[in-house]
Amino acid sequence: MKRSGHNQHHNHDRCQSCAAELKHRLYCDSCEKLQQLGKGDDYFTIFGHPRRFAIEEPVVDAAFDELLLALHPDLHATAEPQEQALSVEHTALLVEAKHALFNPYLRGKYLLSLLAPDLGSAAAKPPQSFLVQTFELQEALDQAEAGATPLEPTQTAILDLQKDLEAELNEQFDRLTEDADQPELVRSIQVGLGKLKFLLNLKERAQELAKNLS
Amino acid sequence: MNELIIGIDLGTTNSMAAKVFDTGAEVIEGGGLSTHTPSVVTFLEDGSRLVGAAALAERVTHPESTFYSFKRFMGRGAKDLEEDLSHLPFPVKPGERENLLLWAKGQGYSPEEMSSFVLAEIKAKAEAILGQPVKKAVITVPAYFDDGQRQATRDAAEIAGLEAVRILNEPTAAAIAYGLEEKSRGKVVVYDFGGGTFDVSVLELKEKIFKVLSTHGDTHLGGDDLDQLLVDHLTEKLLFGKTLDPASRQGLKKVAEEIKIALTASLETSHQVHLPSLEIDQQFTFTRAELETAIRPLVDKTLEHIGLALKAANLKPQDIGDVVLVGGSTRIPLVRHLVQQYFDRPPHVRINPDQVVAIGAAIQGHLLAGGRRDFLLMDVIPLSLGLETLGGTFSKLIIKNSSIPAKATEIFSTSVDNQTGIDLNIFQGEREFVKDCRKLGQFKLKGIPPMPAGLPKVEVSFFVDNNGLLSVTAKEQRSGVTAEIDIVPTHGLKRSEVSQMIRDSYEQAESDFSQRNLVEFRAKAQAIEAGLEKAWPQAPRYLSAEEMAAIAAHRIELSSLAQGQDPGRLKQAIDKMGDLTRNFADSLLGAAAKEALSEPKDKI
Repeated sequence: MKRSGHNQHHNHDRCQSCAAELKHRLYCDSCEKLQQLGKGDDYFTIFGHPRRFAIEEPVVDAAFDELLLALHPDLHATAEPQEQALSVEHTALLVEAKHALFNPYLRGKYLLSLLAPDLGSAAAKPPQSFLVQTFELQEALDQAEAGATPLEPTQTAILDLQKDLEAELNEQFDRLTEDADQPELVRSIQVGLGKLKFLLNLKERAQELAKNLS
Repeated sequence: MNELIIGIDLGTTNSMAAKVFDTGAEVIEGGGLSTHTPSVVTFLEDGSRLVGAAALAERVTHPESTFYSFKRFMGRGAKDLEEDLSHLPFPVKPGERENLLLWAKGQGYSPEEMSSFVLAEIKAKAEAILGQPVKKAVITVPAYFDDGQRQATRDAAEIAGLEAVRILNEPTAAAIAYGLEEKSRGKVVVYDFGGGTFDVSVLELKEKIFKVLSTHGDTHLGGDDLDQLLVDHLTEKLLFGKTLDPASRQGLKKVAEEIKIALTASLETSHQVHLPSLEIDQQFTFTRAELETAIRPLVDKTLEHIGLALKAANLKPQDIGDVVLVGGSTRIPLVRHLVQQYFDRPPHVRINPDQVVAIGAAIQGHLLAGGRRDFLLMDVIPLSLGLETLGGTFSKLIIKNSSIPAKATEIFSTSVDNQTGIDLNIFQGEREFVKDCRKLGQFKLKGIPPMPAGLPKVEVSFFVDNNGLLSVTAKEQRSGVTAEIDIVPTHGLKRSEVSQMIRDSYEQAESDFSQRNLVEFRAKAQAIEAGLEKAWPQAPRYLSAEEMAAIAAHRIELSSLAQGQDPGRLKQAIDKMGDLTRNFADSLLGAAAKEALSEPKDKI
């Protein structure tokens, strides 16, 4: 989804059918009609979540369930074709959006594409120093896989590193504004996302190992 | 009034339909008829076709033309079938594409057509019982069915004159029935061990949202395979490894099924094995311990699948609140015991494991018809979907156990100047190379505006709907042109073939209907003959000589027509016999009632 030229969060839009005030972006509480997506809509606005890197998962979870019960195609199976098509689209979007928001790398990548839309790619290769830093973790995983050492300390180390990376990205994103020209900041975020992607792959490997070993 | 959408469990061994009545969801049956239909089709010498119980009765006398378990061939090719096709008593041969055809009386039938005969039979019975047309149904499939197998199911429905408004996963259907009946919430595992397939699904039942977390299974692991193990064991034990002819194989399979059922309640069973072509006619004893030893390897395999499903959901056995058993094979004590052991809790068995899937499908149908809003289902795609990329690698687009509806988008471009089409090979599976995955088909994109190579930006959207079925749309971004897509399915029927089969089925419907009536009327004539036989000694008391002569003559006429092929004349003869014997019947009834009423009062 592309961002619009303006950063307004349209909190007080009107329903496209009955003109009542909208509490949600995707459907109207009053007349239950589904709404076409507008220019200001993105993964964050459809859940009514502020557009920033740090996410409140319970908020998104609760919103997801509530929206699903209103939008799901099974509950619109006897509606007109346009409503049905819209409900399918919206539900697919909800699923896609939740999946992206709950993955820190995908979330960061998405947020960056909203705030700096003309970038080629969201993530940059992690710097050599980072690869060196994580090399120890990789070795620890190798040893755990061979059964030589326990896995938990490595998993904890990975989680800690992830927390630090995310905190840093959060702070950087907060400083990033849509209209200002901040190439160094954008560059730092790209590097940060590259590191996060790398780390998440490592984390996944650790999780697989944990399942196989148990 | 909401429109009618029934639920149909199209099983490997047995099928049935259910509906939500005012009193709740129940199997559709009544007036001596039932939609419960063995998934069996027989072709007789005279070219007529039987479906269901009538067909099942012919399997030992007509082994080469009695077809069963054809669900296993839906959306499959010869390469897919691990079992030796020669084990089967009926001919199955590869078709022109990578599909399979079942041959009867010189004609090859696709598994979709065979399934459509069963669905048509269920449809007709449901209409007769409900007294209204039935056009739409929710049809269940194993959760582990891939896109090709689901499409084949939808095609089978279409050929039978039914619109499959939803293809629903069997364990999910069971979870719906269970969740709404028992009103329990939390993490649930459904262990579905049917006639031909095995699925295990992990679900989270919240207040109103029933969400599938993961699913795992084997579309080639079911009661049939347990029977095969038993047949092998019996062949060893009784026949000392002799080769079996089709009739004997069917005879032994029948014995295996009976043993399985007998040993559910008993520890030991005595059985007569009569195989005339092998000159075997003997009694033997079989113990539950022997059965369990024979089938244990397969049951252990099902436990492996439980582990994989739990892993995929990031859960452990102790996290599971309830275990629901589905499918006939879960009646086997060993299965129940091992599942109980696995989860350290007794599995839920209150709901009838044979009916729960049809019931769940009926409830979902009711919801789709707008009849209820008290729950919502979120299912998943069981196998990853993706494309063939350079070097034959499998590039996943939609990962297995992702919630559906699901969407993925990829951008493609052309490699040659003015190239107007792109071919995409779509696969489903989990392996690294496409050669180890299932090819769903080839999507041919056409109508890309001519441009230098590499310039077009063709955005291809892959969309998996609530049925678990893939659809593809493509748009060239620079020009905004929507590309046309032709789908050439690997295993399934082309749209033109389905249309032809629907036309064929209309023509057959006439003769099918007669055939069905013929069977019913014959049964009725038999009942009349049996009744007359019993009551005839009393005839002189109530009938004149002329009346008796008339009835006697007509008995011969009725008997002759019952062996014929004309259902219309047979029905007439039955009605005439009714007229001729009415007084007799009334008199008999009157006499019996009189006798009952004249009983001394203190004998009540």
